[in-house]
Amino acid sequence: MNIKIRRKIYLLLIFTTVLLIGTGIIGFKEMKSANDRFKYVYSEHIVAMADLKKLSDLYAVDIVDTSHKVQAGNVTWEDGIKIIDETLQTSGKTWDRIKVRNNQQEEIRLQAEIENLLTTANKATTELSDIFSKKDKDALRIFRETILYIVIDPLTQKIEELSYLQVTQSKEEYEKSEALYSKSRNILITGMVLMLFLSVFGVRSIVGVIIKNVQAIKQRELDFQTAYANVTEALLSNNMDIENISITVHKEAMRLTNSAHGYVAELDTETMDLVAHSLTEMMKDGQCNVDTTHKRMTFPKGQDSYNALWGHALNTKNGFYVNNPKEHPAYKGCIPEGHAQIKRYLSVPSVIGGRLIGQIAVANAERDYTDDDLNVIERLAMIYALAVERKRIEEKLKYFNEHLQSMVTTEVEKRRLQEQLLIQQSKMASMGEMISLIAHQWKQPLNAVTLNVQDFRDAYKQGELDDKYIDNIVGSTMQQIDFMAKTIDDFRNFFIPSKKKIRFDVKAAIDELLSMFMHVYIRHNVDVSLKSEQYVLLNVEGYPNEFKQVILNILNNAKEAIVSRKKIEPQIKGDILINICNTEDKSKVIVSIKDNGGGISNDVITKIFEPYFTTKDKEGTGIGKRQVNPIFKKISRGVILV
Amino acid sequence: MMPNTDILKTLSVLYVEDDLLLKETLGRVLKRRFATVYEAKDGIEGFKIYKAHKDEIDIVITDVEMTGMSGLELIDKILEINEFQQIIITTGYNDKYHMSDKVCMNVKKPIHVDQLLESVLFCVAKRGVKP
Repeated sequence: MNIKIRRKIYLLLIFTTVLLIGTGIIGFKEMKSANDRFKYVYSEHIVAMADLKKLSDLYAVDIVDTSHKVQAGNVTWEDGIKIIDETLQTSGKTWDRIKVRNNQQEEIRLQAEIENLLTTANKATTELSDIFSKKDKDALRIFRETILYIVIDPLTQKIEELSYLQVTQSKEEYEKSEALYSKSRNILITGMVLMLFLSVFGVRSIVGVIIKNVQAIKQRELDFQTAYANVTEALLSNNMDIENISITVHKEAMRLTNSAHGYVAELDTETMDLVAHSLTEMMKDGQCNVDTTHKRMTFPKGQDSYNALWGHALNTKNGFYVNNPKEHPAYKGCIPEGHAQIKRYLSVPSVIGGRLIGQIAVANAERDYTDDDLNVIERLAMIYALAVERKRIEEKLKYFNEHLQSMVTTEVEKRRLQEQLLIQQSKMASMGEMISLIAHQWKQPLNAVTLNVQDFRDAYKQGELDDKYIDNIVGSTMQQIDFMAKTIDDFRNFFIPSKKKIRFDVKAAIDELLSMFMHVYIRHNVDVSLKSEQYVLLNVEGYPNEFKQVILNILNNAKEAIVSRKKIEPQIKGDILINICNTEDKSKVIVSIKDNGGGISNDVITKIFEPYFTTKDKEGTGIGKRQVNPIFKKISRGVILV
Repeated sequence: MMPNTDILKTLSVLYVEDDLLLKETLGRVLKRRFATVYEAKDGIEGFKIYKAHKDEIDIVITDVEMTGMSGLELIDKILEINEFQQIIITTGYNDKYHMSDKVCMNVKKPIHVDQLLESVLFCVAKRGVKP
C-alpha cells in the first residue's frame, strides 16, 4: 500500500516537473524569439527608417536648403560646395548602410529604383556644385527652378516609399509576433491547465489512496477492537469456560486474518500437551467453520519439544508466519491423510511471564499472511493467555472455595487433635512426675516396712519377741502403711476438682502442696521457702485444689526457669520465695511468688496467658498457664498479677 | 541359705543412714549379727566415727542421699584414708547418681537383710584376697 502511494507521488512530481520545465522552455523560447524579433525590427526597420529619413533630409533639406541659402547669399559659395560635398559623402555612407539591410524582393526593387534616382540626384548635385564653384547665381536659380525639384522630389518620394515599406514590414513582423504570442500563450495556458489538472487529479488520487489506507488501518483496528471486545466479553463473562473463550478467540482470529482454517489451543498444565479446544473442520470439505462441539484434540508434546510446524511457535515461544510452508525447516509433511493441505500458516504462542499458556494458529488465508496479521494474532494471543490464566485462577479459586469448608474442618480437627495431644502429653508428663513423687514418698516407708518384716522374723528367732516388741513393730509398720495410703490419697485428691467453695487456709494449702512436691524441687536443687507475716489473715473462700494447682503451675514455671538458667550459670542456687500477706484493708490475701530464674521479659509478659505460648522451645507445651486462667475464672475472685 | 554368721560376729560395721526409723530397725538387725555396729545419721557423723575407729571398722554400709555430707562424699573421704576400705552402698535409686564404682557393692533398697549380709561376706572375702 505504502509503495503504491510513494510511487504515485513520485509519478505526479515527475509529471508536473516535466510539464513545468516544458512550459518554461517554451516560454523562454518565445520570449527569446520575441526579443529577437524586436531587435530585428529595431535594427532592420527602425534604424533603416532613421537612415532613410536622414537620406531624404540630406537631399530634400540640406541640398535644397543650401542652394536656397547660397542663392540668398546667407551661405558663401565655398561653404555651399563644402556642404554639398559633405552631404554627398554622408548620403553615400547612409545609402550603403541602407543597402546592406535591404534583402526583400520589394525592398530590392525599390532600392534599384532609388539607386537610379540617387544617381540622377547625385549627378544633379554635382552639377549644383559646379554652379557653386562658378558662383553663377542665375544658373543656380535656373537649376533650382528646373532640375533640383525634378530630380529630388522623385527621390524623396521613393525614399518615402521605402520608409513606408519598412513600416509595413514592421507591421508584418508585429503581426507575426502577435500570432506567435497567441500561439505560445495557448501552449502555456494549455500546459498550465494540464499541470493543474494533473496536480489536482494526482493529489486527489494520492489523498484517496492515503485515506483508503488510513481507513483500512482504521478498519483493521476497529475489527481488532471488535474482536478484542468480543474476547474480553468472553473473558469477563462468568458462564464462559476456557472452551468457549477459545471458540471466540478462534472466530476472531480467522475473521481478522481471512483464514480458512485454524485452531486455538491450551497447554495442559501437567502434561504440557497441546489441547485444542476449538478447531476448524479440516478433515472433510468443511471450511471456515469453527467447531463448537467442544471436541478436544490433543497434540502430544514430544520428548523435549513440540513436533512439526504446529509446534514451532511453542518451541521458540515466538509467533511466525509462512506463506510457503513446505520450505519451512519445521515442516514435516506428515499430515494425516485427508487433512487439508497447508498452504499458508501463521501461529503465535500465548505466553505469560515466559510460561507457555496456549497457542493460536490459522492457516490457508486466500492471500499471503503479513506482519500485520502476525501483529493482530500476537495481540489476540496475549489476551487469550490472560483469559486462560484468569479462568485457571478462577477455577482454582472456585475449587478452593468449595474445598475451604472441608479444609477448615480438617484443619480445625487437626488442631484439636494436636491440642489434645499436647494436653495429653502434658498430662502424661505430670502423671510421670506424680508417679515419681509417689515413688519417692513411698520409698522410705517401704524400706521401713521391709525391714520391720525381716526384723520380726529375726526377733522371733532370737527370742526377743514379746508383746511390747510386737506392738512396736506393728505400730511402726501401720504408721508407714498409713503414710503410704495418705500419699496416694493426697495425689488423687489433688487432681479432683473441688466441688464447692469452702473456706481454707492458704498457708496450709501451700504447705500441703510443698510437702507433696518438695522432692521435685530438692531434686533440682531449688530451695522453696514459704513465709507469712505475723497476724496475717490466712483464710479465704474458694476451691483449694484449684488454688493448689495454680500455685503448683507457677512454682513449676519458676523451677523450670531456674533449671534453664542453671544450664548457663551452674553456680546459681535456685530460690523460690512464697510470701503471704494481706491487702491494707485486710480484705484479701496476697500470695506472691518470686524466683531467681531470670524474670519475664517485656515482650513475653503480655503473651504469657495465650494458649500454647511457651518460651521453652522443646520441653514446653504452653498449656500450664492456660490452665491457670480458667481456674482463676472459676475461683472468680482470684486475680493473677504478673 | 543362711550366710555364715560366724564370720560376721568377728566384724565391725559402720552404718550411715539419715532415715532414722530405718537406721534404728536395720541397726537392730545388724547388731544381732556383727561384733560391733557404729551408727551415724549422716556423712559428717559417719566420717567422724570412721576416723576414730578406722583400724577397727571392717566394712562401711552407707546411704547415698543424705543432708549435710552425702554418701558419695563420705566414700571419697574414707577412701582417701584407706583406699582398700570395703564399702557397701544402700540406695533407693537405681541410677548412676546413687551408685558408685569405687565401692565393693551397691545394694538396692528396700533392703533384703540376707542379701546385705551376703554382700558383706563377699566384700570381706574380697578384702582378704588383697595384700
